[in-house]
Amino acid sequence: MIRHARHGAPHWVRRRPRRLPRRTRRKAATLAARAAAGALAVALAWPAAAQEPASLDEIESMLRTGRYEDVISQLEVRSDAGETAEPRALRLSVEALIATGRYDEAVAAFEGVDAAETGLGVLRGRVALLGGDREGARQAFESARVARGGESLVASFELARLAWDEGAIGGATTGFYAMIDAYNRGVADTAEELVAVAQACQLLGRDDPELFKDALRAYDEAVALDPSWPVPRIRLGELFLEKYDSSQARAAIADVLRSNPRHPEALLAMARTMAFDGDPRAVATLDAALEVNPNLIAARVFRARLRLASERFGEAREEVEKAIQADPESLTARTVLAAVEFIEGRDEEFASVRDGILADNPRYADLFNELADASVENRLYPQARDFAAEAVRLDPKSWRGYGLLGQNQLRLGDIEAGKANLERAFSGDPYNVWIKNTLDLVDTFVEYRTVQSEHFEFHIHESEAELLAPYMVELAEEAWAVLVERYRFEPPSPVRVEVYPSHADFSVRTVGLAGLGALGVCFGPVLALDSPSARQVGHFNWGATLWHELAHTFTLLVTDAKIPRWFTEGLSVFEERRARPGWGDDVQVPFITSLRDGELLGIAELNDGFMRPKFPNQIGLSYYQASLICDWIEENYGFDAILVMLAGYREGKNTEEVFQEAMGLTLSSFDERFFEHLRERFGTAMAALGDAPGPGGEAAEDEDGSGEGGPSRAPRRNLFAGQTPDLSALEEAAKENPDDFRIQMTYGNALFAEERYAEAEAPLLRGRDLFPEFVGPGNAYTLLAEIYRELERDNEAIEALESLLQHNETAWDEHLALADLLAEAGRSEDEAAILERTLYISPFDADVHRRLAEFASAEGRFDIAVRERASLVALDPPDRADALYRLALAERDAGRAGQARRTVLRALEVAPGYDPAQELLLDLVGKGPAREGRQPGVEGP
Amino acid sequence: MKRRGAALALRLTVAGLLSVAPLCADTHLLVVAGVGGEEAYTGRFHLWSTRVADAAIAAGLPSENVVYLGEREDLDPERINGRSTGENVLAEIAALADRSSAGDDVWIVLFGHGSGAAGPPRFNLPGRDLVADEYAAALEQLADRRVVFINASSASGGFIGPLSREGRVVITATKSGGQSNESLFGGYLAEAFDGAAGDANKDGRTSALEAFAFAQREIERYYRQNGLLRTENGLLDDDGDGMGSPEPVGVEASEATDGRLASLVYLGQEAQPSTLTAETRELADRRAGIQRRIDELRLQRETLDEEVYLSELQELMVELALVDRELEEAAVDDGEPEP
Repeated sequence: MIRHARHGAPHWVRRRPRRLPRRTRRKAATLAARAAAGALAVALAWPAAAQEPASLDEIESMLRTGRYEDVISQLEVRSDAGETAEPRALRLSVEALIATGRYDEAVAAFEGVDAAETGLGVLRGRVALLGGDREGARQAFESARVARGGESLVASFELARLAWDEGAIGGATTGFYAMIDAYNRGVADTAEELVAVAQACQLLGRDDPELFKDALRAYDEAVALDPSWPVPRIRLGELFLEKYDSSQARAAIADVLRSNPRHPEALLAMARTMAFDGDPRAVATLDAALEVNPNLIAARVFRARLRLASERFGEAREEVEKAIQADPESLTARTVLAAVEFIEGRDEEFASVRDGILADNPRYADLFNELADASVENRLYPQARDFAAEAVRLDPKSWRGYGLLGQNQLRLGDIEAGKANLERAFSGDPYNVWIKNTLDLVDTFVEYRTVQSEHFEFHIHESEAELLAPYMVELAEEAWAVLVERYRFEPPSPVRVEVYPSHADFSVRTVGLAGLGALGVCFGPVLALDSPSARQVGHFNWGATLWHELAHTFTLLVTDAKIPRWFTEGLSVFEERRARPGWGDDVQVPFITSLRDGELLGIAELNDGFMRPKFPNQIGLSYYQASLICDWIEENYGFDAILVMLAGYREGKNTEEVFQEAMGLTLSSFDERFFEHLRERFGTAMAALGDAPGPGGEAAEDEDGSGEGGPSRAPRRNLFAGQTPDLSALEEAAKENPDDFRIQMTYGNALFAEERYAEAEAPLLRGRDLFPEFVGPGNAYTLLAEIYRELERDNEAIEALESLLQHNETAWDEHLALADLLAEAGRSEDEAAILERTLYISPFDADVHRRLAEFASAEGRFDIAVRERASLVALDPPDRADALYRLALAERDAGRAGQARRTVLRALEVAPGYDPAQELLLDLVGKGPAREGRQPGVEGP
Repeated sequence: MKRRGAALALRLTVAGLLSVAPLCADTHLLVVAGVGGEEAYTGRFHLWSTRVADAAIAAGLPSENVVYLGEREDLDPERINGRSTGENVLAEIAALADRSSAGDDVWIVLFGHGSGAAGPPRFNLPGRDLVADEYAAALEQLADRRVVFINASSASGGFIGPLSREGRVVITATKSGGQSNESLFGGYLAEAFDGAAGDANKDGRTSALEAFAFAQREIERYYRQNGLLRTENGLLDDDGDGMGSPEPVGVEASEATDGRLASLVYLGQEAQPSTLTAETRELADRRAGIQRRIDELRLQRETLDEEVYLSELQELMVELALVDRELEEAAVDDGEPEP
C-alpha cells in the first residue's frame, strides 16, 4: 500500500517544479563517478597493505564498501606522511570510527578542530550523542546551525529531533515543519538535507499521515541524488518496516548490503526485517552488525528484545545493561530494561526505571508501547492492553498505542472496543498494513455465526457453521471436562473460539499479516484456528488443533501466563496425545538425527527453538521435544509434578527453581537424564539412520515454518523415492546393510513401485522394525497395507494401517482405506470409530457421514444418526429433499418428533410431492400410513 | 413400491396440467458434440451427448424428436444422425423449425470446446466454427417456440448476450469468454438429466433450472473438494436482459428474475391429459389449488412468524399429501400399467 503512495502527489503544493539544481546534479554525477572509480580500484588493484597512501576518493570508496579498518589505517598512513588533515579526511576517519563503535576515538578526532566552520558540526554532534553526551550534541548542532559550514538545515533538524526525544513535541514540530518549508523553497539540495526532510515528514506523520508519502518521496530523491550513500535506503527500509511492509523494507536494505555487506546499521535493519518475517537468519545478521560495531546501542537493544521474547531474561538484562553503559540516557535501552523488570516481576525496580524515563520525557508513549509489545511476546495480553491504554493516555496521538490497544482488546474478546481503537489508529496512520488488515477482517465478522455451548462461544463462518458446530462443540466440551479434571482448574468461561475458513484471515487475526504457518493460536480466553476448509485435506487435523489450543487456555491461565513457551507448547502436544490415538505423535527423521547429533536444545535454550529457530524445522522439533519432556516428567514423577511446576511458575519462580522444587533436579542434570532417556528410546532408530543428514539437510525442505500455535503437519516428501532405482544394487545394499533404515526403505519402496509386492514385504518390514514411529510419506505401514490388500491378506493390511494411525493424525486416505477394510471384515463398530476420526481431518466427505449415519441407525444410536444426517444436509447435497427426509426419519427415531416434523416440512418445501416425505409427515401428524408399502422409514441405499 | 410407477405417471400428468406450457406441446432436442481435438475429449463429448439424448427418450420424447450431430459418426452410427459441421447444425435448426409448431419446446445442447477471449464467441465444430451471432440468427426461425439453448463448452459465457431474449432459456458453462480452461459443466449437466439426480423437487422430471442448479452445485463441490481454483462459473438467463445469473431463483422469484421460465421447462414429454378420468381431474384441480396456496405461503415466509408459517405449511402439506394419496389410489383402481 505504501509503495503505491509513492506514485501519488505529495499533499503540499510545490511552488515550482522539482528539478535538481544544476550544481547539485553535477555533484551527484561526481559522487557517483568517484564511487564507481573507487569501487573499480578496490576490485582490481587495491593492495592488501598499500605502500603508497591512498587518495581520499579511494578511501571514500573503502568506507562505502565496509572496509572500515582500511579507512582508518590509510588515514593514519596519510597522517604519518605529514599530510595536513583536511575536513574530508576527518569526516572519513570519524565515520569509520563510528561504524566500528570506536566512539571515544571519534570524539578525540575532533580535538582542536572547529567542526562547525569546516562543515563537520553535525557529525560532531552525532558523535557526542553516540556517547550519551546530549548537551555536547546540542552545542555542536547549535554551532553548526549558525556557522558557515553549509549544515544549517541538517543541524536544525537535529536540534528539533533532540527536542522531540525530550518530549518537547511542540518545539520539535515547528522545527520539522521548517524542514518542509526549506524543501518547498528549494533549499534542501543535498542528499543529507533530503534525508532530514524525510525524517521530519516521518515524525510529523503522526499529525498528518499524508506526510508519510512525502517522507518516501524525499528518501527516494535522496537516493537518486547520491546512489552510493546508504543512509536514505536504510531509513527508507526502516519506514517500510514501521508500517509492517517487510518485503519493501528488505528490498531497500538489501540494496545497501549488496554494496556494503558490513554496514552495521543496514545489518541491524535487515535483522529486524528478518525477525519480523520469522527468518531464522535474523540472529546471525544481528550478530554480524555487533561484530562490526559492538557499541551499536540500537543493536544491543534489539538483541535484548529478542532475548526477552525468548524468555531469556538474564541475557536480556545483560545485553541492555551494556547498551545503557554506552549511553546511560538512552530511552530505548532503558525502556527494554523496564520491560525486563516488569516481565520478571520486579515491581519496584520496574517502577524506578519507568519513572526515570518519564522524568526525562514525560510524553514518551513508546515506553508503554514497548511494554505492551513485550507483554504480548510473553503472552500477557491483559497487561499489554493496559500498557497500550497508558500509552494513548500519555499521548493521544500515539497511533501505535491505539493499534496495540485495539489488537489486545480483540485478543481478549472485546471486539467492539478493539475495533473502535483500531479505527482510531487507522485514522491517524492509514499506512499501517497490520491495522488495515485487521479492520478488514473485523468487518467480515458479520458473516460469522455465533454458537453457544456450556463453556464456549464459537464464531464460525455462516457457510460452514451448520456443519462444523456440532463437532466442535462436542469435542471442545469433552476437552474442557478432561482438562478441568487434570489441571484441577476451571478457566473463566465462555472461551471464545474463532474458526476461519481462510487461512489468510486466521493469519491476519493472529499476526496482522498473511503468511503465518501456524494452524491455531491461543490468547488465553480467545482461541483462533483454521477451519478444516482452510487447508487441503490431509494437511491438518482441526480436532487436534482445537484440543492443543484449549490446553493452552488452561496452562496460560493457571499460571497467569508466566509459563515458559516450551512448557505450554509441550503440555499442549502432550494433551493432544492423550486425547486420541495418533494425535500429536509424529516423530520426524530430523528429530532423530538431531538427537543423534546432539543438536536438540537443552531446557535452558528450548524457548529459542520456538522463538528464534536456527533452521525452519526446528520449531516442529521443539514442539515434539517439549511434549516428550512432559511425558518423561509424568512417567518419572507423576502428573502432580507438572502441577507443582505450574504452581511454581505462577508464583514467579524461574525454571531452575521450578525443576528443583518439582523434581529435585538442576537443569543440567535434567538434560542429562532426559537425553539419556531419549537415546535409549530412539536408540534403534538413531543407529538405523546411520549418517543421514541432520536438520540442515533434508528437513530444511519440509514445509513447516510455523510459529505460534502448533506445528503444521503437512505431508512431507517421500525420502525414499524420486530417483530411478538400480534394483540389483539396492538388493545388494539391503543384504549388506540389514540395519540401515534408509536402505531398507528405499529398496522396499523401489520394489513396491515395480509392483513386486511379495518381494517388497521383507525390506519394508525390516524398515518398520528399525524405526517403528516413522509415518512420513513412503512409510512401511502404508505400503505394507497396499501389499497385503493386493495379496488378499486383509487382516494384515488392517494391522498395518492401525499401526500407522497410532502415529499419524492426518493420513486421510489411510483412514478411509482402513475403514473400508474393516467394513469388508464386518467390523462395523471399528469401522465407525475410524470414520469418526476422519471427521477431525475433514468433515466435508458426504460418504463418511452417510456410513456413520447408517451405522448409528442400525445400532440404535439415534443421536449420532441425527448428527450425521444433519451434516449431510449441511453439505448442501444435490438431493436435498431426500437428505432432509432422512434427517427427519433419524429425528423421529431419536424421539424428537417435533423436530422431525419441522425437518420433513423443509423436505416438502423443496419437493412438495415427494411421497416418502409426505407419508412421514402424515405419520407424524397422526394420519398414519394408508397403504401397504408406503410406511415411512424404510431407508434405501 | 409396486404402485409407485403408476402413481408417478399420473402425477406427471397432473403436474403437466399445472405447467404454463400449452397442452399437447411437443418437445424436440438437438444435441451437438463439437470437435474434441483429442481422443479423450471426443469420447467425453460423445458420452455426454448420448446421456442427454437417451435421457430425453427415457423421459418420453419420441426418438424422431431427438437429433444428435456428432464429430465422428463412426463412434455410434445408430445414434448419430449426422456430422456436427456448421452447415449441418444450421440445417438441423432450420429443420427443427419445420418439424415443430408454435408453443413447442425446443432444446439445443452443445458439448465441446469454445473460445471467446479474442474475437466473437464461438463453439468449435469440425470445419468452420459457428459464432454466437450465427446461432442467434438461426434461432429466429424458432421465435414462437420455447427454446432452451445450452452451450456447455469452455469459454461459452459470451453466448448469453447475443442469444438472450424473452421466452428463451440460455445456459452457459462459464461466465465469460475468458474462462477457457477445460470445462466439466457438461458432464454434470448430463448427469442431472440422466436418472433422478437432478430432480430436486422429486416430481419425476428434471427442469432446465434443476439441471443447471445441479451442475452448478457439483462443479462447486468438485473444485472445493479437490482444492482447485474454480475456472468455470455457469450462468442462466431467461428474462431476456442479456445478463445471466449464477444462482437463478425459480418460480418463487418475481417474473423479472432469471430462473422462472427455466423452472417450468422440462426435457421430456408429458402424458396426454385426455387419459384422466373425471375423478382424477377433480383431484388434479384440488392439487393445483393447494400447490398454489403453498407457493403463496412461501412467498410470505419472510414476513410471517416462524411458528405461524410452519403451522400453515404443515396444514397445506398434509392436505397435499392426502390428495396425492387419493391420486395414487385412483391410479391403482384404474389399473394403470406399471412403467
